[in-house]
Amino acid sequence: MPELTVLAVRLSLLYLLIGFALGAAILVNEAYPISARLWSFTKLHLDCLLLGFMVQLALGVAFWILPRFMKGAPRGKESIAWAALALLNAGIVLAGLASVIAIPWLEICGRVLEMAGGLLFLVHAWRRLYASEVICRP
Amino acid sequence: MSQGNNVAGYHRYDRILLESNRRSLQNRPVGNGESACGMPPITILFVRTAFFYLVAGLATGILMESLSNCGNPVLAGVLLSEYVHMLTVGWLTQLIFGVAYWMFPQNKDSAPWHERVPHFVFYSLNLGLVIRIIVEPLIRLQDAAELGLLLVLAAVLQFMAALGFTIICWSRVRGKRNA
Repeated sequence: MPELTVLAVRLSLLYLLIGFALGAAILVNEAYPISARLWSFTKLHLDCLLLGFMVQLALGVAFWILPRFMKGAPRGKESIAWAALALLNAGIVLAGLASVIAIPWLEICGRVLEMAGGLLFLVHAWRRLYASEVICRP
Repeated sequence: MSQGNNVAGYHRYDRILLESNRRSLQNRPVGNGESACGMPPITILFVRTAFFYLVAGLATGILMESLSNCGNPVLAGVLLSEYVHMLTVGWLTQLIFGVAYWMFPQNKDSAPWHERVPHFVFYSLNLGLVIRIIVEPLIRLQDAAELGLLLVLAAVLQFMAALGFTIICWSRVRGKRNA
């Protein structure tokens, strides 16, 4: 599989571990209250699992399996997809940490980076979403 | 791992599921020239269970809405966490786990114990989730502190499932040079 997919999937696996570890800590905190501050990690837990794991895994696999071009670079401009991946991860880290230390404007910056990452991946994938001339039976 | 433990590359734990898969394939209409290839048995188990959680999660959503409208918003609020986790962990994550085992290329050089890990991940994730779904509302409603250990067990089981999935998929995801 392409290097971008390898990196995206491995990053998504790391986010999965971090997200589940945070979730486990929050759950244990519910049973045996350790620190009220642990509740502030809820948003980071959500970000890690929804964006870091699920969205990143989907984008990484999409880069691998979407139809390729017959002429030129088979996956189009890969640099756009790399930039999308970088922006998404920068956004997740920034927004996640900002939610923990409670700096709203920094969290908004992180969300903007996440959205820019999503938009850039859309730009990359747009031309790769085309119908096949041969209709395959399911 | 001895050869006797494997059936067409699958671990012996998969035999029952393989047999069930064969039976369903026999009943499936197969057209001329169409090959009847299925998916790994562990994927079938993950995907079927994921659909169960989807239905259960949506049913919990109906229950929450009904409770909210019947003047019991506290109980509806208690169920919110279970509703969210049934849909995100039970449905989405479980579906991803199952499809990933099917889709990511198998590593022929992997250690024999790797074959057991998907089963461990399945049982660990589901046992942890079921315990959580039952125990968490009880603790919130009745302040049943004696059930706290079960919630810790649920947390550990679910984390172990994520760890197992990461270990398996990490080696399966590789670039062309290492393929």
